[in-house]
Parts: sequence; structure tokens; C-alpha cells
Amino acid sequence: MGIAFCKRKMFDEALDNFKEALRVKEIKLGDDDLEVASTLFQIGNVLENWEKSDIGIDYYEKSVRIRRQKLGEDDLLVAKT
Amino acid sequence: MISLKIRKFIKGDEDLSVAETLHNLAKLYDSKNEYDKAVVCFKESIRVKKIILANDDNSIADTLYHMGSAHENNSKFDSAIGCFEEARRIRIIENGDNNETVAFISNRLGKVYMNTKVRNLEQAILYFEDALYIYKQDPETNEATVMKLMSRIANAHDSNGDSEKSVSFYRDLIRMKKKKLGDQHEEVSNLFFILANIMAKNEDFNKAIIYYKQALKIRQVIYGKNHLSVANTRVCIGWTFKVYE
Repeated sequence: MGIAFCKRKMFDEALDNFKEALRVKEIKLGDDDLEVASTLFQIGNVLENWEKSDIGIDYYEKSVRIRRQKLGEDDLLVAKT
Repeated sequence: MISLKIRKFIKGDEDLSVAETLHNLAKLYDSKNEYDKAVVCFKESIRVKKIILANDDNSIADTLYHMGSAHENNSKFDSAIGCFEEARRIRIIENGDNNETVAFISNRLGKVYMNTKVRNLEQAILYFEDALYIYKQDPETNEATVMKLMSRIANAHDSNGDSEKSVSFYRDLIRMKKKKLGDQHEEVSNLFFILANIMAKNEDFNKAIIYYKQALKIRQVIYGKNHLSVANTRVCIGWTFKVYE
């Protein structure tokens, strides 16, 4: 119970910070910036590790869309996403 | 060049004013990135000075120091170190161990040893610590000079894998910067951020998060919530929580 609570709190904290970073980056850099894509990827990754893959997929998809648009289909980063 | 020829004609090759003119000419060549010509003139200046003055005269140390700079500008780091070390040796003989002129060259030597081309971190730390020791003895030393040196030592210890010593210097620096600049200052937040990175590197995630949050708190105050530096600090916090779990 204690460990599960701690784990959940850490996921929460990680997610809150990434989401707030995303909000600022979207304002400052625009919705289609590669740094925005990177933060979207991080959020997707946290959600995936938190066994919330269904929500995580949305973030991964947004991330890959930006990376494809900016880097092309064949880029390594696109493949990793 | 004309001035030098006139001086040599009037006073002969071995006059102090000829040596000084050669020294100034060398500095000019150095500033125009003509390093080989600069070194030739510096060497000639030193040769003349050694005939007229004692071998360990401060004036020779001065020319050696500038010749070291020309070598460093020309990426000849071993030659630069040789010149700086010889200049430092003369300064110690002439002015004593704890003189500001010695500290000045020790600091310069530390910086050369930090250069990746000739990197020797232990040697760099020794020279920086020597400079710091001397500057701390001198009541006229600017506090900013002391802090800059402490920062260099902290960075060198970190690069050398000695996090404990590095952290100790950074903590002292934070205390001094807070006192000088106030708690909510960009430089204080940067130091917290560096400390956090060191903790994260050593997988001490608890402390890393504490320091990142301190940096974040200050950055939010000075930049506002919608600043990229704030966002990037949050990314680091997110990362740390993610790898921590």
C-alpha cells in the first residue's frame, strides 16, 4: 500500500511537471515544435509505464505527427516514437 | 617596426627600450593573430632583457606571460604552459608565494589545464586552489574573483568525478551568492540547477528533486511561470521522478 502510494505520487509529480512544461513550450515555441514533440513523448512514456497506455497513445501520436512533419518519415527519432 | 629600427640604430640591440618595443610589437602581432611573428618578437625581447636585467626580473615574467598567451591563442598549449610556469616561478622569486601576480598566473594555468586538448584536472585544481588561497589572504580581493575561482574548482572536481568536493564548493557558493545577490537571483537558481544535475548523475534522486525544485521556485519568481527556463526545469523534475519510481 505504502509503496504503491509512493509510486503513484511519483507518477503524478512526473506527469504534472511534464504537462506544465508542455503548456509553456506550446505557448512559447508553437504547437509543432520539436521540443513540444519531445515533451509529448515523455508524457506518453510516463503514462505507458503507469499502465495507462490508452491515454499514452494519444501523446505518442501527437509526438510522432510533429516529428514526421519536421524530420520526415525516415528519421530515427520518428522510428523511436 | 620603424620605431624599433630607430631604437636599435640609436641604442644598439641590447637596450631595455628595444626590449620593450619588441614586447609591444609582439603583443600587436598577437592581437592580429600573427602568432609566429609574435613569438619571435617575445623571444627576442626576453633575450635582450636577460642581458640587461637579472634572469628573474618581473619584466621577463611579464613578457613570458604574454608569450604564453600568444602560444595559447595559437593552440600550442604545451608551449603556453611552459611560458606560464616559468613566469609564475619568476613571480614567486620576485614577489613572494602569496602575491596577487602569482595568483593571476596560477588561475591562468588552471584554465589551460581545463582545456580538453591538454586536460589535466588534478593539475588544474592545484593551480586554482593556489590562486584561491592567495586571493583569500588579500583583503583587497574582489569577492567576485573568489566566487569565480570557487566555481572553477567546483566544476573541475565534478569533471574529475569527485562529486563530494564539487558539491561542497557549490554549497559554499550558494551561501555567498545569496548573501551578495539575494535569495531570488538567477545565479543562485543556476547553482541549484547544477547541484541537482550532479545529484541526478549520482542517482541521488531525492536530493536532485529538492535542488531542481529550489531552482524552479526562483526561476518562477524571476521569469514568471510561462518562461522556457521554467519549462525546462520542469522537464528535469519530470525526468527525475520518472527514473526514480
